[in-house]
Amino acid sequence: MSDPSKSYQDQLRLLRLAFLESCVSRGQLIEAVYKQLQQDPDGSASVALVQNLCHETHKLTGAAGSFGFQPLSDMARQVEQRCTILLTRHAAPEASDLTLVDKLLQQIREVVHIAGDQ
Amino acid sequence: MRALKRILHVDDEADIRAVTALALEALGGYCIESCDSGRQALAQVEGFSPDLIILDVMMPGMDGPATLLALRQLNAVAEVPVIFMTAKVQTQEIAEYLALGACGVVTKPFDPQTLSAEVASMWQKTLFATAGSGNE
Repeated sequence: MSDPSKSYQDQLRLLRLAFLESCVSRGQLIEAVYKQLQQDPDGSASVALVQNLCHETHKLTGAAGSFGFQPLSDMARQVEQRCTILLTRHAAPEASDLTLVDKLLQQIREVVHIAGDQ
Repeated sequence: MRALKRILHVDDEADIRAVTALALEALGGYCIESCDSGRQALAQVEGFSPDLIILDVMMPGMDGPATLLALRQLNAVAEVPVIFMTAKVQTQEIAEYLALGACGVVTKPFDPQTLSAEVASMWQKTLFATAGSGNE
């Protein structure tokens, strides 16, 4: 598993960088769902989209926080919790939900920017 | 007292598998085998003979609780303690995981720096509980 020739901190730094790079594709995926939700005013396709968003934000919550990106983890958790409520109530997302997803996308862009600086 | 040496970790998220393995190997000195699904864990668990199993709760296909139930059907690992790892941290949910037979719950996100100590603490509590029930 871990490479014994590198120190723990070196290896953690590499894993952190790999996570930051993965945020590009995570962001693209969430943005694609976000755009589809915007174009689904009657909510007819929203259940599958919200399930997808719920799954992605769940993964992001755990990974971002474990690599020290707590604000991103917190924002992902907020979106995940909101998705869970929508799925439980069989409700379509409201404008405030889309705003929340937009804030999450901004957070993702910020950490991707950090990756570009490193 | 039995020592904790070998840990099987099951999680569908590659980043979490990597950071968990690093933390438990480099800081805890444990031998880690990682699996990306419950099915893979069931295929590999008997060959690896873990002292402890860490299971992600939410995985596509076979989730953590379903994997735990399936593991309990395998004689070789039926008694191996299981810790759940989850971002779902409501008190009721944690109680449900413990009721399923888990010996502890690690909440995600976790601090890699303290993960091995947290796991070791849960392992110790399990050993004491097992020894205590054996003396009754």
